[in-house]
Amino acid sequence: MIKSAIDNAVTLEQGRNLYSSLATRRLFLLIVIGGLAIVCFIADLSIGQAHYSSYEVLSALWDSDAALPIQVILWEIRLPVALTALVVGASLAVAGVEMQTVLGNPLASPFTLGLSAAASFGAALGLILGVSILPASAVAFAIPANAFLVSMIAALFIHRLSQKRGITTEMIVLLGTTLVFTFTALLEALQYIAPDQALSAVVFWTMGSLSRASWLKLAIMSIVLLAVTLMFARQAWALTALRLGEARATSLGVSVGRLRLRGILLGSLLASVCVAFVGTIGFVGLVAPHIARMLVGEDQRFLLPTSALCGAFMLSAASVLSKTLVAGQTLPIGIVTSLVGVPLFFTLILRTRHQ
Amino acid sequence: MRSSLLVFEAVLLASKQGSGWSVDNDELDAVTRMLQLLKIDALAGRALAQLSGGQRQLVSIAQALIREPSVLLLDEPTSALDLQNQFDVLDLIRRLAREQSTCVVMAIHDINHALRFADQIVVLHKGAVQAWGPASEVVTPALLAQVYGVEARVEPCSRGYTQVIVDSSLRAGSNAAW
Repeated sequence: MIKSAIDNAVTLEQGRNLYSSLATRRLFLLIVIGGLAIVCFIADLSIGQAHYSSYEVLSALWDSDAALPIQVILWEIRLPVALTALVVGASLAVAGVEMQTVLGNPLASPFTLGLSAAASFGAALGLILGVSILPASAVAFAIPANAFLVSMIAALFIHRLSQKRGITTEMIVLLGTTLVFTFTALLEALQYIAPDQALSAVVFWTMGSLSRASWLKLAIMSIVLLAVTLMFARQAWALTALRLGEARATSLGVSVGRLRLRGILLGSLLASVCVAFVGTIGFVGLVAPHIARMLVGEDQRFLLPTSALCGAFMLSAASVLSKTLVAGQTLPIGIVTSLVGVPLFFTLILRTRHQ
Repeated sequence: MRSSLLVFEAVLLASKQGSGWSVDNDELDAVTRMLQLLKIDALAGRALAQLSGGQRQLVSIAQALIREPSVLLLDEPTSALDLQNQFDVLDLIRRLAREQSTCVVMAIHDINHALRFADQIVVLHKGAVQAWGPASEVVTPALLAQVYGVEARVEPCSRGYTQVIVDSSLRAGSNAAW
C-alpha cells in the first residue's frame, strides 16, 4: 500500500503470529466455556426430584422405548427447564454486554436499567389487580404479556430520553437507576393492598424461576435470542470501535448515536422477553459480560459469543445448584444467582483495584 | 470502563470498519506495515490503556492512515508528541499527501511547523479567515502582530527554511520591565 514502507518479511510474520495467537487463545477459551455450559446442561438434565438414575433419564434422549414416566420427566419437565436456563442465561448476558458496550458503563445491565423492576410491576398488575390486555383464552400468557409490555415501556422511555440532546451515557444509567426505585416503590404499593394469596404469587414471580418453562416459551425466547444476536454480530467491528471512545469511533465512520439507540432497544427487547417468562434473575446480565471481557478482551467477534456462553453456563450451573443446595427442594433460581453472583462481583471489583 | 484493546487490534479495527468478520493475511500485513511506518511496531502487543499520551496519538494517526482516506482531517496531530516524533509524523504525512494524492487539512498552532510542512496556510482570527495563500506569502510580521499579538521577525534560517522568531508581546501591560 504505502511505497515508503519497508517490507520486512520477519516482522510481517510477527504481526500475523501476534494476531493468530490472540485468535487461537480466544477461540480456545470460547470452546472451554462452551464445554462447561454443556457439562452443566447434562448435569441439569440428570439431577432432579424423581427416583430414577441419571443414566435412565438421559437414555430417554436417544431411546424412544424408554418407560413412559421417564420420557415425561425428560421431555416435558427437565429438558424445557434445562434449555430455558441456557437460553435465558445467554440472552441476559448478550443484553448486558451490549448495554455495557453502547453505554460505556460497567454497571449497565437489564437489571440496573430498571427493566426487571418494570417487568415485576407489570406482572403484579396482572396478579393483584387482574389487569390484562390478552383475552381470557390466552391466560397462560397474560402475566408474561403484562411484564413484557411494562418492561418495554420502561425501555422505550430510556430510549426516548437518550435521544435528547446533551444526554450523556452516565445520565442514562442514572435514569435507569431511578426507574428501578420507581417501579420497586410501585410494586410495594401494590403488594401493600394485595390479598395474601396474590401476594405470595407476586413474591414467587419476582424471585425468578425456571419452573414456568414450556416448549412454546422456549421457542419464542430462542428466536428472539438468535435474531438479536445476529443483528449485534453484524455490527461487531463498530461495537468494538465504541470501546475506543465516542470521538474516536465517530472518526472511524461509526454512527455512534444510532448504534447506541439500537443497542439499548435490542438489548431491552431481549431482556424483556426473558424476564417476562422467568421473572427477575439478577447478576447474570451484569457479571457474565465482565467475565467474558476478562477472558477474551474487547473484540466483539469473540466477546459476544463468549458472553452468551458464559451466561448460559452461569445460569445452567445455578439451575444445578438450585436443585442440590437444599435436599429435596428446588430453590428459586433468582436467589441462587444473586447469592453466587455477589461474591463473584466482589472479587471482580477488588481485582480491578489492583490493575 | 477501561479498554483492554491492544495496539495491533485497534489499528486492525480501524481498517475493518464496515467489512466482514474474517481477517486475511493482507489486512494483517497492512497493519504491521502501518505500525512500522509510524515506528510503533514494538508496541503492537501492548494494551492501549498502558500507552503514554504521545504513543496513543501515534496509534490514532495509524488508525486514520490505514483507512487510506482521500481527505485527512487532523486536529493538532503533534500536541502530545516529543520533538522527534513531531518531525517524523509531519514529514510522513507530507510524504503520504504527495505519494497518494491525499488532501490533508490540519489545524496547528505551531506556526514554524505550518511554514515548514504546509503548502497552503489559512489564518483564522476571531471566527473569520484573516489571510490565506502559500505559506511564505501569508506569514508576515504585520499578520503576526495583528493575529497573535506579538512583535516577530520572519526570516530564513541558515538552510533557507522560513522561521518565525518572536521578539516581544504586544499585549498592553507586558513590557521589557520584566
